Amino acid sequence: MYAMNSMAEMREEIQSLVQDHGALVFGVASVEEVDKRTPVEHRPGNFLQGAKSVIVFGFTLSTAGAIRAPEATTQSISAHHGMKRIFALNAVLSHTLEKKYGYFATGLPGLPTTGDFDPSISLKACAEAAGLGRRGLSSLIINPQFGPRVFYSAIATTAPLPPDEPLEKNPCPHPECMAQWEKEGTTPCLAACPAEAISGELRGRTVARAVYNQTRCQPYALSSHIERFTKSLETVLDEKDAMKRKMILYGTEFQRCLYDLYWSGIEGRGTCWICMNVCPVGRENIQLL
Amino acid sequence: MPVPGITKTGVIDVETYQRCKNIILANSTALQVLEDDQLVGGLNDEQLAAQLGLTLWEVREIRAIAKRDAVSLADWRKADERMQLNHELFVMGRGSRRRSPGNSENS
Repeated sequence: MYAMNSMAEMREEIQSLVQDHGALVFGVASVEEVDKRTPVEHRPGNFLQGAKSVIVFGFTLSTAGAIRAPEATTQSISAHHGMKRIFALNAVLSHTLEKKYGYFATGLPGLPTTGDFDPSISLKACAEAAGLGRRGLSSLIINPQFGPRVFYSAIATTAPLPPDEPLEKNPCPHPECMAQWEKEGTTPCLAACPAEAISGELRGRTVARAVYNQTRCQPYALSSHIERFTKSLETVLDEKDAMKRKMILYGTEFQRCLYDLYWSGIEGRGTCWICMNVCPVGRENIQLL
Repeated sequence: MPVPGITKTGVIDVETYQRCKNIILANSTALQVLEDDQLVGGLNDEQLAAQLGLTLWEVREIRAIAKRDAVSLADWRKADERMQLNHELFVMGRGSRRRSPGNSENS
């Protein structure tokens, strides 16, 4: 086991490793803080016995060029490449925690693992608990520096690292959004959502109410995902005529789903990014990343 | 990975699904509600099971199916078009004040 003078030093070394790999944000949550925010079936202790801490880090996924590409799907391809970095760092850090420091560690799954629609762990809850952001009007985690454009990864470990405190001040709403709300009764994210999946209202500097409708968001955020393949497969199974069945199977709709699965691998591939793209919080820090 | 409290597998009874799917969708975390900066909705599977007199397995199964059932293939196709349109509006709106590497005229 690696001898450490203190957990604080270990935390600093881990943070340096994560930042050396390009992560933009880093935080640590106590397992108790994550548990407070999640139902029993979604807690870190289900994945690692004796877990004490949850390490959370995040990257932006897409390049700035991809965000500005004419085709909306370009950003999702760039993001898919970005996901590789996140998964790789999760694996590197998990093994480092075990081999170098002598504590058990495991990456937490931010995607469904049980056939459920919902992920097994809420990375949003982990990020909030680690002080990396607060839920905004769009229901995304708004980081003070980078807004909603950060994608998080989390590792549960038995190391009792010094935790961060959850943020007291919500970076949402941004002053620009408050001004637009006063003038037009809307904000950039509310106005831009093509699915009308988010609604809400501001009161001064506070999100007075926000409602995120996951069902409306689904065909946008997950339009290149397993869920669409399932729906397309249903049309094939329902078709009784053999020739028509072939037309569906060989046609672009069904083949698109197959290629999307091939492209995305296990991570899935999100497609709609508009609520993230239009958010003014942290916009100045993201332009050329 | 077993989910705590859920050991059963199989196919949910269709009548139970039809009877409960809308209630479960409307009250689950499919709707995430913030009030005064605090997350207040929705109910987790255990709370829904207690309210509806169902098992945890039944609630989870109904919720997972209902979320997929709620969106038609037409919805997915419509999403492609609207998403592209809104993306173009965003790109055009940002174009005039965007800074581009090596192109200071766009500053």
